[in-house]
Amino acid sequence: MRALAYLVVLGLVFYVVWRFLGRNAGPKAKLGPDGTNVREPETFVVHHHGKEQGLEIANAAKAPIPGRDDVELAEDLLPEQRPRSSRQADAPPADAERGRVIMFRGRPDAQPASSAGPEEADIIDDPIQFTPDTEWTHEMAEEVDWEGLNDPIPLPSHYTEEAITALVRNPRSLYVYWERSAYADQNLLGTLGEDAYRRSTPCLRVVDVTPGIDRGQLAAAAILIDVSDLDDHWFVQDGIEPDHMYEVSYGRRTADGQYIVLSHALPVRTPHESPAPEVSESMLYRQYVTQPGGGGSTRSQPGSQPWR
Amino acid sequence: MTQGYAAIVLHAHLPFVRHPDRDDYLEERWLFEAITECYLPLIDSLERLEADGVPFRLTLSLSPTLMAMLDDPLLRSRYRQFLEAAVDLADREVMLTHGRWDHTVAKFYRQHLRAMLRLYEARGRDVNGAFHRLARAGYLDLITCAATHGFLPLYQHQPETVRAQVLIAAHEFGRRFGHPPRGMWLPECGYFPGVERYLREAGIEYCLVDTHSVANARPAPRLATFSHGWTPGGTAVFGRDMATSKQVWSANEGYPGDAAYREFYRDIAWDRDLEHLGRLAGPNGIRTFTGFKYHRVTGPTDYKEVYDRWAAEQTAQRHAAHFVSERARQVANVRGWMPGGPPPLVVAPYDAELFGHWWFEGPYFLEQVARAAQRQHTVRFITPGDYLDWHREGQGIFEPSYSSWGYQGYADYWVDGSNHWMYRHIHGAGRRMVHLARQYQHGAPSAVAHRALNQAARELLLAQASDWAFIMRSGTATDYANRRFHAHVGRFHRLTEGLAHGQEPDPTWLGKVEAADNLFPHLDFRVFANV
Repeated sequence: MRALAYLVVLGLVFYVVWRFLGRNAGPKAKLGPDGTNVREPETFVVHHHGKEQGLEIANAAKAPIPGRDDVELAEDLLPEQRPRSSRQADAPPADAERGRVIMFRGRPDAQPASSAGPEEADIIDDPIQFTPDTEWTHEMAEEVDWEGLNDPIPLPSHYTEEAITALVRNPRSLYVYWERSAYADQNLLGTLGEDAYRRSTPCLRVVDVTPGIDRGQLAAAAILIDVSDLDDHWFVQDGIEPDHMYEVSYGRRTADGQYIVLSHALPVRTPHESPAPEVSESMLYRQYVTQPGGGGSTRSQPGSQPWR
Repeated sequence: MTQGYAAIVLHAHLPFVRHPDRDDYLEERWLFEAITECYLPLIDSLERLEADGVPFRLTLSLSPTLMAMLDDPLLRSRYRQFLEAAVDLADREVMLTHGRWDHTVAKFYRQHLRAMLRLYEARGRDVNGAFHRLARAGYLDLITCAATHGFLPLYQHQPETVRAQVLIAAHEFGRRFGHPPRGMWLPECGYFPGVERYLREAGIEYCLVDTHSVANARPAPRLATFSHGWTPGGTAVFGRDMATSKQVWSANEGYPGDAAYREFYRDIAWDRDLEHLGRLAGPNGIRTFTGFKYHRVTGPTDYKEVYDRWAAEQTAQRHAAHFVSERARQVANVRGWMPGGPPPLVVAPYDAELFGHWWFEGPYFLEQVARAAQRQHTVRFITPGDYLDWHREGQGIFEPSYSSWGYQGYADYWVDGSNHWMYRHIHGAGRRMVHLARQYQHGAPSAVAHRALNQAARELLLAQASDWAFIMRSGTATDYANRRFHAHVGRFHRLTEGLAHGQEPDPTWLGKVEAADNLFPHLDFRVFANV
């Protein structure tokens, strides 16, 4: 029996030495420009707001892969034996009482979150040290009274500022949404009179304001779209050209054809739809293999979610 | 001799799906499944490469919402429960399938899940930390994306929002990893001319865009996507290589569709009793994916053959060798028509969740790419940051075109008939946030008001996530996206409605909202005050 025990101990010692040597003999996996391995620098430089800062880091090449051996050995670890990160080890014991107290107190004077890295103090300037509880467990979450958290809150029916917004969907399409301003409508009613106002119709006007187009052409380039008083958005699909700038406004068109602006959106520019004209088709084929623009992501496929 | 380079860039992102009030939200499983199937296997593969001394460089974008969830103790605790439930189910499956055709697959899952559980615990349940360690070991270059994955082109008329999304993301990254990110994955690859102003302010050197953003740039880039260009604003832009993307993404021609790989849609959730599924069964008798899938793709038929892990690994090795040889052929070919230019770089960006979740063998494939790359010298796998260090000038200045990597290549998917109504609320709340941030730029009237303003900023950022619009357009889980969007916009307004007139929200309710939406603990609402 004793001989067997000696053998086991000897085997363990041999295994530990072998693993130790094996790890330290491993090369660093970083490539130089020529494809050869280079050593990991012990200091690297980060650029932040135009300044260079040297940042000391541990030379990971010399460190073992934490717990790599444990992966094979730790199958039956009890909860109290499980390895804890230094962050967890340093944290004060978490209990349900602490969870409730910390969660609901005011915290402008609290310390930074314990998840912050050790180097952050040198780099990150945090004027506000706000720390939501960082040591929650599912048991603590179950003890909290969450009533009221998910009560439905109605969305506002309107936002009173900036009554029209235009967004670019693609080189040939805009999305426009607007809000009717009771104040502007009332003003217009006063100006036109009730009868003329009633005979006027709400209208969108899309004007091409691309720099380089002379002012004489602008009126001709305007698109008028009659909408109803109930509409609050429009997908503008016709007459929109790539690489043009548009100014969209909402107003009313009177019976005699006059357009009166009620609100303006900020101008928008549509993107290019094709490569620069100096690039030949054969060059494009060679460079890009196939015409781009179809999207290659499964995220883009109808029926898929971000996750499944 | 090295003819050129290839850079694989993975973008890991999930919307913030933390629900402390209940533990039966199926959406939290998006995170749990991603950890089990994508992040842990990726860590495992990279650590094996490290242990074997195989050189490799991979770029990994971690979204701030994902980082927040991976750090969260409650979600870590729940994930541990989920993984234990998966291991328990694997044990039951091994017993149930004894002597049957699927017994070998059941044993494979038991072994695999036990290994993932051991790895998770051995890393102290700290997935971010494991990625950070691999970065320091030289295997990963970590970057990030906008704070809550807001689709930035649709906020360009509200520059405070774009700035806040970028600065908060860079800050969160720096807080975790000790330095600002060198690169940024623009959410949905959504680029618009001018965004670089905010990237520069955050210390970000480069971003990634889709192919046509470079193809349609002015002036015409002479080296296409094979080298970066510099925007007039001074940010380097790397374009996606179309051929490489197709090879992996394409449903018809891509690797993941091979007959030997695991079939995604056949799951035992629909073949077993709910009692047998245990905690992996959905709540209230709902059946949902368990991750136990015993069939392989087989072909375009409903008949599916049994999954053979050994055959799948052989196929992944073959595909990895093909992938590397194609990149070698590509860079040698490109080198021929760009003499005098910098060595070509092929940029291959993908969703990280493709590798492991959709394509179960994906992480193993990446590992085999590294091993295949080691056996040749024509192409080297590096990161965009490496390329910037070595060939900083790139192909000079051009202005990329507004673009995304979504359907049709622009913003159509995020603004259409199903989701357009969201923008008046996002923009309206954004305007109110800017107004309040300026009003209280020199101090909120009380501590509670200060907390309310910070929490309002969090709720606004969460409402801006591109995920809600995406889900509504795709037509699946729309109820959840709708509820989330309404909740964040509603909470924002309840938090802010009285502040303009000096009234504070109920501090008890505020505390609950803070505890629920607890990401970005260092957020300062005043980030919205400036352009």
